[in-house]
Amino acid sequence: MPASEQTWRDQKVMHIVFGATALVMVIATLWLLAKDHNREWKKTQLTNRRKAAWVVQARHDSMADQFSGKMDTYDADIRRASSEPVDPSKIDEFKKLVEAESDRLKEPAPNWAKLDAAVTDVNEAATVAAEVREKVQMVGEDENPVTDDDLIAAEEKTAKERVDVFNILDDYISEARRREKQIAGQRKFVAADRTATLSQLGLMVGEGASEKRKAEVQEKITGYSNKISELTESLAAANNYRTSLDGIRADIDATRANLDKDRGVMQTELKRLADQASAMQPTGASRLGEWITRWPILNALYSGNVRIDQIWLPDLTINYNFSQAARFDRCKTCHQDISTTAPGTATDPAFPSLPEEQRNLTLKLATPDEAPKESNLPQEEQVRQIYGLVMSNDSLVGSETQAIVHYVLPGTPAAAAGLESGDIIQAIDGIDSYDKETVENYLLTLAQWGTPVELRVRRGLDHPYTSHPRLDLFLTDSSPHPEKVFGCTVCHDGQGSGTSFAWTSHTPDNADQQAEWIRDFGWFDNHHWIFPMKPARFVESNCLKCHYSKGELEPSERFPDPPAPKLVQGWTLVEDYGCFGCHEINGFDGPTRRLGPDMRLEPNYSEVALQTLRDTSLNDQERQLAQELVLSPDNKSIREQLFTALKADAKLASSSETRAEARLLETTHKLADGLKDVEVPGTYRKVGPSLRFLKSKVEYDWLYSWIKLPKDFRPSTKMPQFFGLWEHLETDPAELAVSKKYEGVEIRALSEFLLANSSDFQYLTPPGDVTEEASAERGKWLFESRGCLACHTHNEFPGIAANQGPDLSRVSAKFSNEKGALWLYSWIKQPNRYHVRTKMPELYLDPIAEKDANNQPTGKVTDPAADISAFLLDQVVDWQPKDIPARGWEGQEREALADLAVEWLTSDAIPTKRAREFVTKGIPDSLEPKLKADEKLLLKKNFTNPTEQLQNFVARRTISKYGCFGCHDIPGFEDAKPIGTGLADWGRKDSSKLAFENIHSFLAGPGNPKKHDTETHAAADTADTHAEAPVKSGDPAADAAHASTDSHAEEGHAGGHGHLDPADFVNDGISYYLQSLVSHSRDGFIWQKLRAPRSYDYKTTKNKTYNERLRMPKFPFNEEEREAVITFVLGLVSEPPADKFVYHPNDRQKAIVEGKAVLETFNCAGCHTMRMEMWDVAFHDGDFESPVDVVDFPFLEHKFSEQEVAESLVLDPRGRLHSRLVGQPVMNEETGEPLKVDIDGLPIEPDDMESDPYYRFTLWRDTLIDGEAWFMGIQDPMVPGSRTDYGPAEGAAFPAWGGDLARYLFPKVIAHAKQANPQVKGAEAWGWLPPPLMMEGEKVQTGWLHAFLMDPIAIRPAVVMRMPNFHMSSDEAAKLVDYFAAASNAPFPYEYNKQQRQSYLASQEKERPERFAEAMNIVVDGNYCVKCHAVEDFQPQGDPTTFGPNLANVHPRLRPEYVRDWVANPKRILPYTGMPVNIPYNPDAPYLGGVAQKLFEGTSLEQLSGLVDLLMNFDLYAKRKTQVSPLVEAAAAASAPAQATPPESGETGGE
Amino acid sequence: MHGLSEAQFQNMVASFLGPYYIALAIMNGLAALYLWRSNQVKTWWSFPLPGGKALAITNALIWLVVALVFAVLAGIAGSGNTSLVSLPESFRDVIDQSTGPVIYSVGTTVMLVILFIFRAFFVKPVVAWAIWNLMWLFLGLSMTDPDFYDIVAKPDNVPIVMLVFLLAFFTWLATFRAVENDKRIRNGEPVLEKLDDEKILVWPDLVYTELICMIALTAFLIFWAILLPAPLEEAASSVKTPNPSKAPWYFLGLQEMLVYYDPWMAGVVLPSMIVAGLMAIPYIDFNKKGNGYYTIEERPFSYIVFQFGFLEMWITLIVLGTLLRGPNWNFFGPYEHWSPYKVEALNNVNLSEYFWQRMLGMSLPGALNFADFPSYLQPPTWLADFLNPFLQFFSLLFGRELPGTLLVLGYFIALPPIMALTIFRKFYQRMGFIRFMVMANLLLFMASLPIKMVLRWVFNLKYLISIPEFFFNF
Repeated sequence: MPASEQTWRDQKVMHIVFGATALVMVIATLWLLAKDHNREWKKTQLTNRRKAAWVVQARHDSMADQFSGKMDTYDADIRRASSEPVDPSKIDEFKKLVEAESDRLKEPAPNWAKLDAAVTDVNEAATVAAEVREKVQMVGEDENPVTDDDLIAAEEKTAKERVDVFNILDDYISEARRREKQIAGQRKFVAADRTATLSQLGLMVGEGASEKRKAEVQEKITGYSNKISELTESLAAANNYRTSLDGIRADIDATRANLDKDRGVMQTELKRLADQASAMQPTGASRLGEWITRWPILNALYSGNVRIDQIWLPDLTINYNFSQAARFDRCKTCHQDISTTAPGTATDPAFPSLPEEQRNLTLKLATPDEAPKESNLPQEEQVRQIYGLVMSNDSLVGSETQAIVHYVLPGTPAAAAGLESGDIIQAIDGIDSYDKETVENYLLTLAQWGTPVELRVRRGLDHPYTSHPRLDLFLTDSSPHPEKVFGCTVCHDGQGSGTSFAWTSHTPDNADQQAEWIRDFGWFDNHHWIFPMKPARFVESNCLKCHYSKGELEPSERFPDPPAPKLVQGWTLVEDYGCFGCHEINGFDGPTRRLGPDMRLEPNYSEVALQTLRDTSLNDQERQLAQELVLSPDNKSIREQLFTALKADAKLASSSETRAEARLLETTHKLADGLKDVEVPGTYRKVGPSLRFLKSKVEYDWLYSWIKLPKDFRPSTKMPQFFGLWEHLETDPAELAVSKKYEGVEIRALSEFLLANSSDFQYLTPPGDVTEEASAERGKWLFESRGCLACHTHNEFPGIAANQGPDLSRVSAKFSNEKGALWLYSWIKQPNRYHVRTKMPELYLDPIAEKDANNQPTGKVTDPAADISAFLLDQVVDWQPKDIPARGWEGQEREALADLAVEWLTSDAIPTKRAREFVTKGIPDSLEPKLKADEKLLLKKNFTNPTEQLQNFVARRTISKYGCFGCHDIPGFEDAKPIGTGLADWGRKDSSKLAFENIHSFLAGPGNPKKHDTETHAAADTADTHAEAPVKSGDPAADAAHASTDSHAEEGHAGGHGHLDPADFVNDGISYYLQSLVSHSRDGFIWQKLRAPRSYDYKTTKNKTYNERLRMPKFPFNEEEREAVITFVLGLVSEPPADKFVYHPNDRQKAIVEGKAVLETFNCAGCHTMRMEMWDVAFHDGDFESPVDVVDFPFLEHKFSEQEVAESLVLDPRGRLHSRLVGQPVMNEETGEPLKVDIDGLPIEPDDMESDPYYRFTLWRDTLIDGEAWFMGIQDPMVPGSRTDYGPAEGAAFPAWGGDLARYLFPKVIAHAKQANPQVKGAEAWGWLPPPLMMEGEKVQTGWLHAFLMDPIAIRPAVVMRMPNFHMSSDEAAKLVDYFAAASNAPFPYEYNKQQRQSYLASQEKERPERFAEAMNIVVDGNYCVKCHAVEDFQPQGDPTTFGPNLANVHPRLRPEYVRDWVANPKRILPYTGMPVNIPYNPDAPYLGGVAQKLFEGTSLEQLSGLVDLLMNFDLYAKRKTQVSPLVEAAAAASAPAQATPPESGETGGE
Repeated sequence: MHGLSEAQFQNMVASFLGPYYIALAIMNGLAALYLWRSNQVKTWWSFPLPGGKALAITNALIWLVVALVFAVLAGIAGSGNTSLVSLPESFRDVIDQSTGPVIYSVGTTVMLVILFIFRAFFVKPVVAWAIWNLMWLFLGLSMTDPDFYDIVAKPDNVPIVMLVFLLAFFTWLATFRAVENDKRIRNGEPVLEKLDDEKILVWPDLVYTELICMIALTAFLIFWAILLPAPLEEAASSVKTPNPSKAPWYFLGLQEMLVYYDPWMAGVVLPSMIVAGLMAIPYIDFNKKGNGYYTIEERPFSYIVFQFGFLEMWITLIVLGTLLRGPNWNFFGPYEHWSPYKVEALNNVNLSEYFWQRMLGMSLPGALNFADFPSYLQPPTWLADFLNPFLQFFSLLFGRELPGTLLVLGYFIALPPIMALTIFRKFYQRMGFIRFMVMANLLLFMASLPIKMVLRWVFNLKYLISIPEFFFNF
């Protein structure tokens, strides 16, 4: 075809199509740009800025409003101040100075006429002004009223005159200044000349100039020097003169100047706020500029406007599977104010994140008694005047405007109602309000006058506009986790580099929140991100990444608000319930590298040793070693000796030649392996009691019942339920029948086996000198007062509950036979005899010789152990073991036993048929080498009693299956390993590795949580039937419903998800977990596992053998405890960050943390107060009286630093002062409750609603209140108390740690003591109870405390109980010692006591050789020490409740400074003590007070130090009185005829 | 759906299905409009009305009605009431339970055969349009199933769904024209392409059009990228592979082969053969007909072989791999939940085991080794060391694996001459020995895949030749 202009398609159409596609392309490009530009975080940032500006603006406006009132007064005051008359004496002073100066300078005397005239003018004008002012004030009385204007005119006139005076004065001052400057200038020149000449001289010396020339120059220099000193002098004089003049002038003008300054401060503050507000939310041109720089492309050039705010953490890496990548946390991009503190505070959040339940408030705003008068003022102004409320139509965040409280004026009805700036008023008296006009109108016209209106208020901000709730712990620079170091995601997880809500992997806390997020933010579950954010409920989990000891996360002095309460609760639960018995939590990777918390059982050395002792062929040495090892398993040398001995025998046995020489059993040889060293041994004891001597303790019936359902006997038991967990089998009768059949066999076999297999136990018998029969009545008091209640709960004593040991209310039913009584006695008397590793201490229940009123023995001797035992056994309890099958295996039961044995034997190697043959006839002996240990029980050679062997076989297999040895010491299972999955990294476990099985169908069907709950409630009502028949509801309707849900479930499961909508469960608090289960997450898995551990077996049992079924028992956790445990377990991720982020305590902190663990193990806090209550009191100036003045020894003085004083005077934004009080309120001596008193100190009746309550607070630490020092032991401040709760009226009360028993016993011991002596002083009763241990470290010497803890001695005769012996290891005791020292900031592990050194004593005694003897005078004087204290052999007489410890034993026990402080003023150390001040200090008295000079010559200080030195060296004092030489000589004389003394002893004699 | 409750899911689907059905309604409406305006209205049936008149049921009217039906569906689905616009659950269950790799593979083959045989019927615009509509309707109705939705709506599966529709359209277009051309050729008329073969200008006719297409496509890709951003999947991990772990969609056909072949075979040999075979086509093809126009009847062999290779061996396997293979590479019905816990019995047996153990009841012969030979037959040690592997391999190949070896050798060596002598006699004559042998071997390789699949399904056959000792399996 020839070329032509003709085209194939119509070009016009093509152009149109091209145009259209180009247009589409433009749209696409623009959309692309817009999509890229409009990130959600930009909007968030702008909103946040607006919010912050709003808040600042509101504060500014509020302040401006308050100031504007003040400003008028200020103006008047300033006018008034500047119209004051000038004090002529000041002028005279001024004149004198000037004249003196003129004199000095020999100048003519100045002419004062002008000044005098001016002063006269001022004072005249001032008088006029004062008259006018008076008239103004008396306005109305005069017919010629003067107005403010007149006053202002008069004042202005005076001010003008004053200015004249000041001008004249200023002339003199400036003249003086001129002179001063002139002299200074002169001096400068001379000094320069001198320097120049000096350098000239230097050069000349170098050049070797002639002496003469040098002398000339030197003279010049001297001349300059003289001149300089002259000038310096006159300069000083001139300066002095000038400043004096200045001073007088300032004095005259002082009032005005001060007022001016104050006003300046206010204005500066206002300006600052205004500037701040406009910086946050610019206006005008800068706003336009900002807007332009936000445009696409432009914003790349300038990023100061809105920008991504990121924290770069190169060392705190995140695990991206292949590599550790630096973290970029961009969370602050949206959470802009997350670390902003309120102005003027270090840790208070600027924008508190209130919990949802605190955000909707109903406030009552008082109205005036009658309708406000008609007024022309705008509504807004009227509301401001009447209520002190200023409102605006605005929105802090979001677009919708609402009626917002702009600010509230202090001291007005609105402030009293509790309204705050930023509150949204949603409704007023039930009428919805959308703007301020509605509210104002209602308040001015519609309200019911005299009755308060009800405001529905929404307070607080939504995320992300709030601040972090714990800025004391996180983010701020003063916190332990500054944001720049730790960022956000290491604690919270989530995708830190993301900048959009959805992609940062936020995790909702429940189904409601999820629905809300989906709606508002397009949230989705990005399950591909490995580290989704922890939902709010588990936020504490991640603490475990860096904190490996529980003590680190418990409340402390610095952080009294618990830092991680839920986590600590979970941790404690895992410890208490012994989860680690089955599920090891190994916190070590190698001997030193830590991965996380470490919870593992301690090595079984004790148990191995006990089991070894069963071997009768041990030789004496081995037996002795084993016996020692039983009691001290931590003794490495004994263990190694025993190990070597046993291994030596094993070696003999291993060789055929020497086999005959081996003595020991093969099992013993095997046991020896259990004595090997462990790389990093676990530290936890088994939580359950030892079953080694079980047959000496309980009977078959009880045991059967206990194993079957522990909580039947003891509802509060920690032992979980292993049997009867059949919920998931309800729908499957055949499978249920299998469970019932075999579980019965298991329980029986276990009971029989445990009894038969246990060792013999030697009971303790009461000592012979006891004269009295056991008495339950005495026992009751002993049980109460000897400390049992610190660990145990008992129905008879409802006021106190403890769960360290079991609830003992029902033990009489357990020990209702002779065996039980014998056992109980032995146990109470010496628990570790039965169970070596028990935490129960030995209480020293030695026989008590009864004494009469005169403290003389009556001859009666009682046995406290027997009494307590009698008390416990005396309780009438209607509990009985029920449905216990008869013993002996008969008929069907024998068959079932055999069947179960067959189940156990059957394996790939042994088919069922063969197994059955084995079970009936025994296993041929030839197969022995191939058999597992338990199977050997069934060998033909052992098959003498087949039933028993089968029973033991099944029992042993059952114990291995359920892992009973994880909690109990069971003979023969010393080498057993924990049976459960290790939990050390469970928190990261891939959820695809979790077997969810048919859990959805179960939850949608028979396990539906809603149905289940109601069912258990119902079952709880009908009590015991639950265990027997958990399902049979008997109600046809319910059954029908049941069936229908079942079919539902089937249907639902086909689709993969059960018909469970988590949103239905929001209010039950479990929606989160259901949601989590639906999306197959691990937290849902573990929740269900704890809730119904066997439910994952739903519909799977049919195709498993019985022994393959799930075996985890059900622990008696409630929903809250379960969540705490989950929180803990989810934190176990085995992913430690770089070492520098892991918490490494310093020595002191470490001692505290480690000590806390020991304290908790032995429940020390059950008796002792470890930390007193702490009250953070907020109060107003004047709420507290001033403390009394104290005169005390200078070394007792506690000086607070100026900074501390200044801090105690700081006002918070609400105008309150703060003080932290440590101590406890005074208790009522009859009830033991904190005593509430009125302002006069009189107790308040409980029904008294009128008086303001106060607590009299016993201080246990010196403290500052309102800048004034309060000292402990001197005076108890009266603290305004809360009307509704316990604690201060404003502020917070943090509970004490420990001492529950002491507080419980406080009223009881008083009542008990009053029986003997009605005059007993209540407060002293604290001294009879376990002492508080806050200052223990400062008090005692470390070496002594260590020995005391290992083997306590009785110290104070007055106490009702004495420190028991916990049989702790030396290591544990050392940790406690270090803890006490560290906690009270005393030196440790060693301390240096100068007062006990020879050198010190020698230097002291050089001056006063008889110092000790003189000090002894004080000790033995009847008025002082010996009145109450025993000293060596001396015993005081009288009421033993007032006695103190033996003074001869002070020297190894107490630290010298402590003894000094104690004797100086005991109450400053123990406020409750009955010990008086014996050596008073009085700076005004001769010898500074003190005791009589005839006892000890010298000042009170010398007396005190002499006494302390004596007490601290009592051994030395006594030693000096001992003579050995005469004894040796006498001995030598006596033995001389018999034999010749060897020379060695001769040496001693020579000493 | 992860983390979504039933109601939330339904809501989400409803917001998709409303516009979806509206689009379908518009599509049909436009079709009706087009028919009406371009005077292609045909009356299919007259509905006699009282009064002697008749209502003509025309094609335009029918599509208008279909459009209305879709509009109604849009209303129902968009209102959130999706249960009315779902396939019945029982129907879905039947589909899930009755499908499997066998049914799927055989079914698609049978379907293709039917489509091919009755192509003259299926290419009729009205039939094709009806099928087109049904395809969309099926997709829409299936969307309400969460499991189906989960798979289909995954952003990287969307192209596969588009591919299915595009492929259907273009296959129809080609076949339509081929059928038309075949008819014309039979009638001695020129083919369609000849009717319109005027030369056109590079500019503006070609380049301008290309430019417009380029812009339009770019815009389309941008819209697509904005609306369906690429998903972020799980982080790569050396200890955990994704499950299912899938190749890029275009390789899923190859991945499916891995089920039936040794990785070496399916991953290296067969793909190389495909590439080589495609390159060889121009040299093998001797049929000069069909140049520049669509036809089937003039080159039935090429057409059938190519379409089988492309549609059956490539496309349907991609669809299978993308949409129907779930965790653990198990087959899941389209409405089945992709549960990672589903386990399929996989007990496959090698041919040698069948032969030696089951048929002859004896144990498998082992490999030969020089060490076992009598001393006079033993070569020097160094030589024995060198030769031993070869001896072992070949002794296994012709010993233990003899049946398989014979079968495979027979298939590749004996079959081509037989083919040349029988059904491919004419081919052989026209192509000559080498070209024929290349063609025959490529063909046999292609055929080996379905053969192997059938053997697996029918006999649980694992490998014909299995010498894992030398990583040689076939």
